[in-house]
Amino acid sequence: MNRNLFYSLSLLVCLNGFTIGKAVEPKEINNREILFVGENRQEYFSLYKSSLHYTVYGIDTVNIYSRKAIPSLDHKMHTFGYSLVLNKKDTIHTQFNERIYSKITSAEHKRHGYSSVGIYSLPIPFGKHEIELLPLSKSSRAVMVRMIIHPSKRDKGRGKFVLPDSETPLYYINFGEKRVRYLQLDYWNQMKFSINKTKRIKVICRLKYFEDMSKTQNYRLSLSKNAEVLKTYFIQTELSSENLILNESPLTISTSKSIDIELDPGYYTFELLDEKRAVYLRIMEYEF
Amino acid sequence: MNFKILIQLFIVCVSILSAQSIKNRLLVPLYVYPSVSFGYDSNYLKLSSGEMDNAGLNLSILGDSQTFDSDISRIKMKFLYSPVLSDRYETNINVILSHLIFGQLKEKSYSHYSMIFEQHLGPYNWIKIGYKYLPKYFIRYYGDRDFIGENRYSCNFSSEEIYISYSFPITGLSWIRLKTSGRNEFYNSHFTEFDQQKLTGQIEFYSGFSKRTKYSVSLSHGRSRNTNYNSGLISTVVDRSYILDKMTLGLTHRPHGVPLMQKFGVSLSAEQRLYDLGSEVGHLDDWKFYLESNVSIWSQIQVHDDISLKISYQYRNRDADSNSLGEYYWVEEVKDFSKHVVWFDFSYDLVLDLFY
Repeated sequence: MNRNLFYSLSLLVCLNGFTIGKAVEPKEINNREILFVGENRQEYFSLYKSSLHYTVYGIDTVNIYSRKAIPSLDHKMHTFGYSLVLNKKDTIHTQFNERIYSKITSAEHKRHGYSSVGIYSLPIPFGKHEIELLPLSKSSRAVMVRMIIHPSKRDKGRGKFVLPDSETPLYYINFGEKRVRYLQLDYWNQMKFSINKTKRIKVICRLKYFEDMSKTQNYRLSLSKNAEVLKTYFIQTELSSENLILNESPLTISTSKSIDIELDPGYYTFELLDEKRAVYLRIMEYEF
Repeated sequence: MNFKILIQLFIVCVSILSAQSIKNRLLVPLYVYPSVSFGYDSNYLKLSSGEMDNAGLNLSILGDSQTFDSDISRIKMKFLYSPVLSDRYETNINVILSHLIFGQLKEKSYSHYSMIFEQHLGPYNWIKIGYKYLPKYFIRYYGDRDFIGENRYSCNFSSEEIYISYSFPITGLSWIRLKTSGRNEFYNSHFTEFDQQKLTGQIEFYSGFSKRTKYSVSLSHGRSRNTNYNSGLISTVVDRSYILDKMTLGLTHRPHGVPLMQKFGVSLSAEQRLYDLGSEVGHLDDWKFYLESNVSIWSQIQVHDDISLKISYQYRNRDADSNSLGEYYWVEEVKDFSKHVVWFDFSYDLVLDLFY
């Protein structure tokens, strides 16, 4: 009741970004830094001395959340920002004036605090886009960046379910009244599929939980092209609280994790690398 | 057996604090607080009114100085480093370097260095260990009692002090600090008879009338031992050891609704020193007694987001007394003094975040 309108609106904007949106990683994944915002653990990327490169797909509105790293005893107003280059052409300079926000900490950088968030929203048109974020100058201090995209909204109704070339079992999982197709992968069952022209695919995967499994789990999926491994995805997941039904029986599976991948034409294989596990997988393809 | 357990504990601690973790704990921001001060001292050589009246006849008392007063300036750098030795409690290492310049007399200028280690143990609960070093502090020109003649020599001393303090809460906003300090003063070769070794105990009580108005009361008691007493020279036949007692009252207020003025305060102190002046060759009951009082008022103003100005005024007065029938009857005329000091202290908050 005592919160002012600005606080409520900020909270709404943040919640909107964090609940509906999805954080996207830059190519420079080693710049990852985990910030604890109150009790929440959030993944940021450090923009300091070198740039960050992102690939995003439109139509979407990309929200960029940034916070300046500030020594914890420094309560002065700080100006910070970054330059944003879209598709190596258009450059935008952002600037924010914020003070330290006491509830944010980092395990990696002790005795540091982080400023209140500066939000920049960038509408991007249809298609694939490259975004480069650069420090404003060589002497700029570290700025933590978190880029949020909205894949559900962006891809809604546009994707096409990729059917396997292999005999991977297909199941219909009931999400309330909605029935969604998933393929089941296990250690012995790979999923083979083909792409006839360069496309973006979205892999949505959920781990099947067995009785003896703890709430948090990890698994590895490998993607190969013509029997050559392209990438292995290490996925950490948690038990979903959704009430799902498979073949009229309750299904215990993990929360959904999605991966955006751009693929050239060819024959591909998804493989689960962990024994005694099963993953429900759904691949959607998009014309960017 | 115990040694084995210690080694095992050490190995466990080292493995918990991995190299990365140690790096993260040590590479923290360094806070630098530089300050520049300008001031005025109405009687920087602490001359008595009698000495001032007769200064025209005895110019050597002033040395190269033209006046009794002097402009003063000070450069000070304070460094604060807070490594994370504990996830729960704060650790601070403060290093302070300062240099004070007297416009009238270069010889009076001096540097001062100190280092303080502070470990937080809980709310209002700290343990602090400090070291202070004063390489050379000029007092004024005095005659050497070991020499015959009227020549005056530069009298200066160097000092070092080590102290430890422990503070703990009592109720609400109130807390107490217990402090003990040891200080050595070594005089230059003409005045080694004044060398002192001082040990002081102090109790300080801090509380507040409100969150904005705080006050403190401090009581100190100490003994200073004249280390060169009876060491062979003529001047050392008198014991210059003394007992001191000091009381300080402080009041600070942070006004509400005055955006520029951060806080202001007043401090009053009174210190008494009793010198027994015992002598194995003297026949009379010699003693001397100093009562020094000090009043200071100050105000801190926020000039800019990171620049603050502290204006202070101090009045200091010493009344000296001695046995009028003794050998030190002259003390009253020479050791009394009073002076006014004004300071304008500009400080800047600078943070060096070198290791992010």
